[in-house]
Amino acid sequence: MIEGVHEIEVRMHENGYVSDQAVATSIFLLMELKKPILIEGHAGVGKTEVAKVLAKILGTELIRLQCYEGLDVSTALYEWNYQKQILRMRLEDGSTHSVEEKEEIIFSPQFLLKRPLLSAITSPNQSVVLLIDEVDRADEEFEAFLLEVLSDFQVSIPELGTIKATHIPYVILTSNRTRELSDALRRRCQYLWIDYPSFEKELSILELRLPGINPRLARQITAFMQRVRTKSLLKKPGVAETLDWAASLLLLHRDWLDRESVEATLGCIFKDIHDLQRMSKDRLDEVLAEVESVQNGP
Amino acid sequence: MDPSFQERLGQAFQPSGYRNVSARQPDGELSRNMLRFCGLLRKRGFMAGTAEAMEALRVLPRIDLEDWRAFYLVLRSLLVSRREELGGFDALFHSFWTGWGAFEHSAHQLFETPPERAGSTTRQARLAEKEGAADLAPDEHNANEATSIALYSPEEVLAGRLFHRIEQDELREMEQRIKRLSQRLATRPGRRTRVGRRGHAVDLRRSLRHSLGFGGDMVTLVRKHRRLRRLQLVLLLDVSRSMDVYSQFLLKVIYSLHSLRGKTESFVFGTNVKHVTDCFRSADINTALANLSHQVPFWSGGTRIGHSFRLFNLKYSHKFLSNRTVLIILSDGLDTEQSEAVGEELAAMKQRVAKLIWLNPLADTPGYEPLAESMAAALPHIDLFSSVERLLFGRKAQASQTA
Repeated sequence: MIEGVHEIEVRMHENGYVSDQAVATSIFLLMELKKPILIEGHAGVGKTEVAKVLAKILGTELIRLQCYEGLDVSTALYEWNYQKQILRMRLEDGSTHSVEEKEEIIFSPQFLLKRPLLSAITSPNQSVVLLIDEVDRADEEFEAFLLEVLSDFQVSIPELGTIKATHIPYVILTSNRTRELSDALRRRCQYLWIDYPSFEKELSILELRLPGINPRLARQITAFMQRVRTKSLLKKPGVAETLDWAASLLLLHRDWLDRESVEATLGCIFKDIHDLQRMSKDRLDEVLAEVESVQNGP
Repeated sequence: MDPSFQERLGQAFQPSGYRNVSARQPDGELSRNMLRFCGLLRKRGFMAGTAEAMEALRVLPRIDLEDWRAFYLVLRSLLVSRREELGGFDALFHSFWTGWGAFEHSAHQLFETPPERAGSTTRQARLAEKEGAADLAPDEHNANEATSIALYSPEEVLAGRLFHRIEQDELREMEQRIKRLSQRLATRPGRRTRVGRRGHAVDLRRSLRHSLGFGGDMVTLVRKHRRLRRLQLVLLLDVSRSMDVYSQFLLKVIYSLHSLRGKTESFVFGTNVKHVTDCFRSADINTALANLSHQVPFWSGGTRIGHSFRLFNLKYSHKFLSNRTVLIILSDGLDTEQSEAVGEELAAMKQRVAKLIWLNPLADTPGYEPLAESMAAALPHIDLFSSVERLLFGRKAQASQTA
């Protein structure tokens, strides 16, 4: 059993996540109160990663529900296995079972396909981590349904009756703020905003995830990314982009940043044609010069 | 409460030895103060109820109470529910809990914020400040302009040439046209399905149940089709001086839209932005216009399109724009200040909405080309560039029709 906020921070670090006290506190509260965490933040700041690392340090399974517009109960909760049901009915052709008995057979648990939400609440041994990713993409109807599941941790299936959670899962929801979530859902959750990391934090993420990296290159990359985020861009690069970019530079055997290698790998950082154009030539020189001055400074 | 916790509380929150014991010095009852703090938050619009206070109290014995940042983070996690509340929470937390003697940290140590966030907060704060100032002194910006703003007063606008009374017949005709338009505009196939005889997909679940009666043979297939979903309309109307001649016509259109469809939100902008949906909910259009004229101080003034869009994005976009929103901007795109912000802010809006439409009254003027700086910056982000007349009457309207 994990004791205290500080230990969570340490354990997350051991599992490759540079945490801070705020993230660790939220996880602590999740474990103590079983109150779901709603994580918001820009793309690529490591929202999803929190759930993955939590599953690792608890030694439990991670069940992920990716939300999208039109997500419905049969994809999120359960679905009947129609092919199997039809086959079974064919086999029942010659039997003496009545219609009611047949119905009972083909609508029994063995024909039920569990989708993420149902698997999460019926996990047999211990609480799992349930990640509900990008909940803002699902529509309001689904949000209302989700709220019902999250408050009672039970679901009813017309053919089978009510199924209650054996172990209440650790629920983490993430949102990119493309849509305002309902007050009811927010109220059910604790709130955690993850911002772009500071220079020191981003540097330690880089060093933790890419242990072999040249220290000078790591500092330059971090300084470059920190600079770039202050520019006005359509899609600001997150930590995920930093790691991608650093990995590509390592593959190219670069030990420091120069114009040429930056230009060749610009696609790792900017994922939008307007941003690429905007950061070409002059602006790139400007940022590189700034990075250089930071490096040479005290 | 656990006695050892009480003891630790006594140590941690021991006020003796600190000179500044404020008048709001808590009496040592943590739970009472927690409830009081939540009450204070609620007054400021936070969703911090008794349930949340109880949760905090339940978990506090498990943390190190001498660590004020830990205490702060627990409360923040449980009592804040959206990003916009973070700044207000910090301020309230600081002023409320400073009364506790042990609170010797400066606010800076407690709320260490990474530089980017501090940056964005100050930007927001700055804008909010500016805007606040604008609210207090609505004429300030206009006064700087060389134009004859001294003539301006809301009543005058209402009584004068713009808002002459609108007759019921005129309105009825408008409503007929808008009804037709809004049926085309307002729906698109949703992702959810409805069971029916026709439809593009077979509903296996129902078909199977149905087949039981026939010994498992699927004699009839139950089908499903996509439900139509209504889209939300958000209107942004330019009410600056250059739009005066079109205002009456456009307000009629907007009023009809509001009365015909529920899911419509309206904003007006000029040097500032204001949410005016409630004005349009009035029972008749002349009351609506009167309400508007009283509530919008920047009517018929200058235009700062980029600035207004930025304010809109900061204050309203997260609440009113979604992927099922059609955002309609009604403006001539003539700006009194040069601004790079227009393109940028429109791009941000475009990312949130299903369709971005710009209706420009000048679009039907023979020989018009969208060359004004703001309009040119806006074009790449717009899905449809047209005029209201063309949408309503399906042809290029005469310029005189709008005047």
